[in-house]
Amino acid sequence: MAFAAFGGGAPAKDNSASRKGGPIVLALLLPGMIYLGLFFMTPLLSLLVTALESPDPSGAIGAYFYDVNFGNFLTVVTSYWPQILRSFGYAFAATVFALAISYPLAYFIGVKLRTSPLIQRLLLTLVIAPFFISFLLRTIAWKQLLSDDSAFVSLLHALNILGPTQFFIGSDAAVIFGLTYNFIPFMTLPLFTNLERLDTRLLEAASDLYASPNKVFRKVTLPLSMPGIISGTLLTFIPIAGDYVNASRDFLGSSKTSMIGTMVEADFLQNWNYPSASALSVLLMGLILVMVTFYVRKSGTDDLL
Amino acid sequence: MNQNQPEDPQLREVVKSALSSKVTRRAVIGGAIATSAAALLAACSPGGGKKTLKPAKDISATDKQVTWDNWPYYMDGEDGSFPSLKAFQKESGIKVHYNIKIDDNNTYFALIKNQLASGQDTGADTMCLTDWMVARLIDNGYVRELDYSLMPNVTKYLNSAYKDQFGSFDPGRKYSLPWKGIIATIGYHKANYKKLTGKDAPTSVEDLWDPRLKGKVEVLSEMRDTLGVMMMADGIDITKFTSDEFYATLDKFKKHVSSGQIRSIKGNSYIDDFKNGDAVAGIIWAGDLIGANIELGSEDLGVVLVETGSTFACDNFVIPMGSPHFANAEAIIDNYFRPEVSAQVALAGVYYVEPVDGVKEIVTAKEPALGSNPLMFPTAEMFATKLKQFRALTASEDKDFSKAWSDASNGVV
Repeated sequence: MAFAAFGGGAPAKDNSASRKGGPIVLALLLPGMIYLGLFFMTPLLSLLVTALESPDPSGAIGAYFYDVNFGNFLTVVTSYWPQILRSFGYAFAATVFALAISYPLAYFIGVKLRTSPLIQRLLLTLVIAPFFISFLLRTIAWKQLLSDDSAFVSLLHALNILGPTQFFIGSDAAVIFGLTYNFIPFMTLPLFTNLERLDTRLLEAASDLYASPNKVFRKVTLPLSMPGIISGTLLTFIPIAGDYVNASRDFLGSSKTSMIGTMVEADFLQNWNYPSASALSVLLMGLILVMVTFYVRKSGTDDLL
Repeated sequence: MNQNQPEDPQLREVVKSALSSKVTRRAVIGGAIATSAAALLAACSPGGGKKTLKPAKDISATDKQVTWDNWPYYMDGEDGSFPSLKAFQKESGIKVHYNIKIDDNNTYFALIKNQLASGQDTGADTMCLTDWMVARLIDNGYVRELDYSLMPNVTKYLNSAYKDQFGSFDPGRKYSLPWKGIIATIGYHKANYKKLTGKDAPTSVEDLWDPRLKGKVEVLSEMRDTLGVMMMADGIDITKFTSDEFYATLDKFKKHVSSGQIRSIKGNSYIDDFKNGDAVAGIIWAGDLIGANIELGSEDLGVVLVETGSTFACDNFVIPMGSPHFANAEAIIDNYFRPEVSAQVALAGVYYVEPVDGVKEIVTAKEPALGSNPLMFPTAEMFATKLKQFRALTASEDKDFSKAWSDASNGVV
């Protein structure tokens, strides 16, 4: 699985003696297996079963019967394809922005500040500090800070970036901003962990061989930090694609920014259309799995799979 | 009761069914695994078709307690003192568990739907839900028929308008009784409205579509309120409209959403946008804006009862099929149909419309200004001409209209 990428480190050597499964090993595994069975496999199975249900012939709202109705998947794709595309578009943009902000930051903290560990730790704490506050509260705070009467929006109006009847909250930019902000630590921390271990002697050697700083970065630093970049992008892209808080009309979004999560919420809570909500969730899961597999393979890190 | 059984009603059912069968040890283990798997699947997965449910056995006489789930700001002494509830407890000897647990019909329903659908105890013996949700519960057979012989005060003091005019979803009020009424109409921020339009106040729904208000209009996410007010402005009688009329107004709504005139469609959180300037005018719940003014200690926000009419809906008591305390639930419902008890709640700051006859007189005697507020005690003329209830929908209309509304609100074309 691609998620092995998050673990980092070299794969353990094959040690046939430690691989023998004795009763103790099984006993140790049991709690984890039961937990996974109850809280992961059962809901997943239930989701799949629900995704295939059909409406009850009585016509009562919210009543469905067990069936094998693959048509639900076709319906959600034809109804919600703009939301599906938008979700991945937002996820892509926010991941790129998060990477562009996090890479120099992680490089600075992890490489340049190695000689002053105190400042290094202080800056790392500052990266994480806002996240001691609840995700929802932070998003609500941004909603207030970026509201129509805020200094930020007044500035955008003064600079003619926004027209007199245009505002920030409810726009694509507001949602991408919120997503980028909320998921930045998930990009910064894996990058930092990777860059902290970057062997600077390799950079010096490249310079000694007359490589320009640009070339040193492209040929040495970047390839060496690939595992960090991959971990970071996966950790941000996956949850962003399924996020529904930032794009919600109650937070930074509007009717024009609905994502897959918005539609799952609408189908599940408002329309009582559980098969549609489940089919959309399964589809999101499938699409992410395909994309992640493709991405990890394409980035030349097959060993991480 | 149930001292040796789990608190969770669903789990309790599983334990009960396991205890009731005589089986061998091997079968118990095998059966337990199969039952747990089935119960878990059932718990996690909605659906399974419509069933005919039977009312649970009433143990009210031996188990003197009742649980009531309700919305916030609906009871006197919500700091925990609850004087009217305590008085009832003392008088009747029935212990009351009052939970402020509902802040949205749909999310509350999502919490209890599996128990409701299987006729099990949801943990609440009565709860107050909005008309349309109650209509769905009645339609699906999830709630019990009420026994009026146990509720003399209801028979005596229930305002007749709530039985006929505002009870179309439950003819004769067989399954539900009103708790409080809510008016949806036009609200606006006085200073900001003047600044943008140069006018003092909006006077019609049409005023919301003034181009100078582009991006500053917000409406409620409750379909029946927003579209109801808009349909009335289009001259449609919302007590008996056709599907074509519904979709015609929905198209107008979609047009205002896609042009950006309507900036957002929200539930309870719209009030913050009126406070911070993101919204200047819109379709709102009257009681909320009055409450916000009191909270802010200002008169910044205004409410207009437009000529074309406003929607009126209630939150209603219902008793689920699985409630084991039917008589106790009816006792507490009946208690709040005593004018002096309801007046006590109103005087404590619950500023919604009272469905109990005789409350107005008691409130007027103590606080004349409150007693003459038409948003709390609408006049007979207002009830007759200005306040209308969105008509009850058939199951298939409910499904189609809700989906069309949800799609329009989420920008699905």
